Amino acid sequence: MSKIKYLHSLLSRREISSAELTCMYLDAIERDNTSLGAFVNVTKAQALSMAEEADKKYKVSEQVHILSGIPMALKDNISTRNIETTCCSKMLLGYKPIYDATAYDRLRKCGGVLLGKTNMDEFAMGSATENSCFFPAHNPYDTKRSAGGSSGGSAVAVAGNLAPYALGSDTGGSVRQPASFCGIAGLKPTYGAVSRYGLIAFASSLDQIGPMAQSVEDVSIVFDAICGHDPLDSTSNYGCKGNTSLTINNDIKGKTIAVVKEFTENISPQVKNVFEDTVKAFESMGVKVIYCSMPEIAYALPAYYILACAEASSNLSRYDGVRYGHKTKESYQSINEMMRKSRSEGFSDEVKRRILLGTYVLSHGYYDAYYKKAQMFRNQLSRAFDELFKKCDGVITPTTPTKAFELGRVLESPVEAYSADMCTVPVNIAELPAVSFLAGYSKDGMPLGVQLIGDKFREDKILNLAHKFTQFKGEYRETDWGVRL
Amino acid sequence: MMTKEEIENLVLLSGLCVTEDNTEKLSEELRQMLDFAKGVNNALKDTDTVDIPDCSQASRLREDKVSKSADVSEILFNAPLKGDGYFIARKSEQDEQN
Repeated sequence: MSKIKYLHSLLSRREISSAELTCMYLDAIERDNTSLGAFVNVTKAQALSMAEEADKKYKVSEQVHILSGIPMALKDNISTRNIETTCCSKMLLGYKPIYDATAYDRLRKCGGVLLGKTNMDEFAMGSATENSCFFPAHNPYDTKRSAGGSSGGSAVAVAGNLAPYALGSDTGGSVRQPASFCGIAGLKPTYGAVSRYGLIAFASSLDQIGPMAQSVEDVSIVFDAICGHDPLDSTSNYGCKGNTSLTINNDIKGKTIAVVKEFTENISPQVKNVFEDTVKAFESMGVKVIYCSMPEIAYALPAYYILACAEASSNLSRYDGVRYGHKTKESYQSINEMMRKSRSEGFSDEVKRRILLGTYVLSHGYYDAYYKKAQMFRNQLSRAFDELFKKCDGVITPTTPTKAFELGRVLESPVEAYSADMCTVPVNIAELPAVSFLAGYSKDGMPLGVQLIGDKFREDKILNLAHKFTQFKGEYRETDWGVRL
Repeated sequence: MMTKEEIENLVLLSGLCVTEDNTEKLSEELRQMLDFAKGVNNALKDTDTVDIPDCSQASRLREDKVSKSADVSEILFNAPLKGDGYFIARKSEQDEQN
């Protein structure tokens, strides 16, 4: 039984109250968060009051939502009314949104209990959760190693048993890569499937909020609760039907998955072994495997950095030291100087580099050479995937080229870090859904993930395939951290 | 490699500050990032791109309708300086102290 189902059964049978369960998690956070760096803000009073509400529901009704009374965590770029939301940036320290993000609002209405806000790379720019203005997140399987990023805090909270599930956000792999590094499941939904209202923007045409949990089944339950059209997000889509948990146990015999050659190049031997074993396991479950090539994949990373930085330079221009966010305390002679000083003090070097690159590729004389080309490539890649999905139900790839790297590694250039996202960024560019799930472990016990990419709004198919695999071959090794149930 | 003037102009366009000690480092980092970004050109070089549109999203935005907004006091809630229902942006520090 999945963790959410198990906790719901305990709550339904009144073997435990939501208040008791919430206290267990709050105590565990107090004990283990210093070592793990998962939470940057623990909302104890909020959590206890939400738990009390949920307990009332369980007392008066037999039919309560499966997420009712179950604690959870939110990445710190998901807006929470009157609760500090910083994107782990000095720029937003002390900022309290005046509204809730739709995804959080939906969980709240289901009876979810907010434990706190989780650590991340500043403005979701990074792959290690080292670029946070607070402290780095640590991998629960080896605290000297990275939890991945940018939703590293959410992944650590789940893998370290400090929250049964969490929400992250994924612009180029920021849900799936930390999920893979921390041995949990994470879903990047189709663009438009989950409302972005209240998600502090990094790159608006690529960003999606996604659920993270220890099992694919729990990811599916949370996705069903947060997806669906929202009039408050102008790019929200009516195409998402949800209900993925109804089909998650369907037989997968006769389904087809594709292995695309370009996704399996430049990956470490251990990742390759686990990936190949996963493909074999699917074959033994009666899934047909086809092998093909998609040369476009090789160009997805440069295109991604052009598009993401261009959108970031535009989105982050809102931080001006006037309406909200950091304002310089230094002297200034003009309002422009005040804004420039506030921004230079508030943003870290990685954020500044991306704003500069974005400004460059959008400026006169370079727009056609970079931004326009990247947009054309985006359509070309989407078409290539459209063609591929005429022949298969999912594309299977490793989630990351390596296992979790060590914290504090020294990189020769900013570009070196970007290669960690080579398997994940094509999904965001083509607006597709993809799930990362635990597929095995390295020799030294670090978890390794595999990714299944689906056609637009077919989260049901990839969750079904991933769930059946984990049931057939899943070997979840609990960490020693947090709440043990 | 970008010239010092080009870097300084880009930093100003980005709404950031130029300091003497960071232009050289920034110039080198940006060069590496731009070399990397140029890779996208190779993707399109050998392909017929005539029928590929360069914009995929503009057509599906919802209709723009006027609706109720948040209260002024809420909108001003996080402002570093405010007064009389407005954001305050002083043109200089001396002005701010007066």
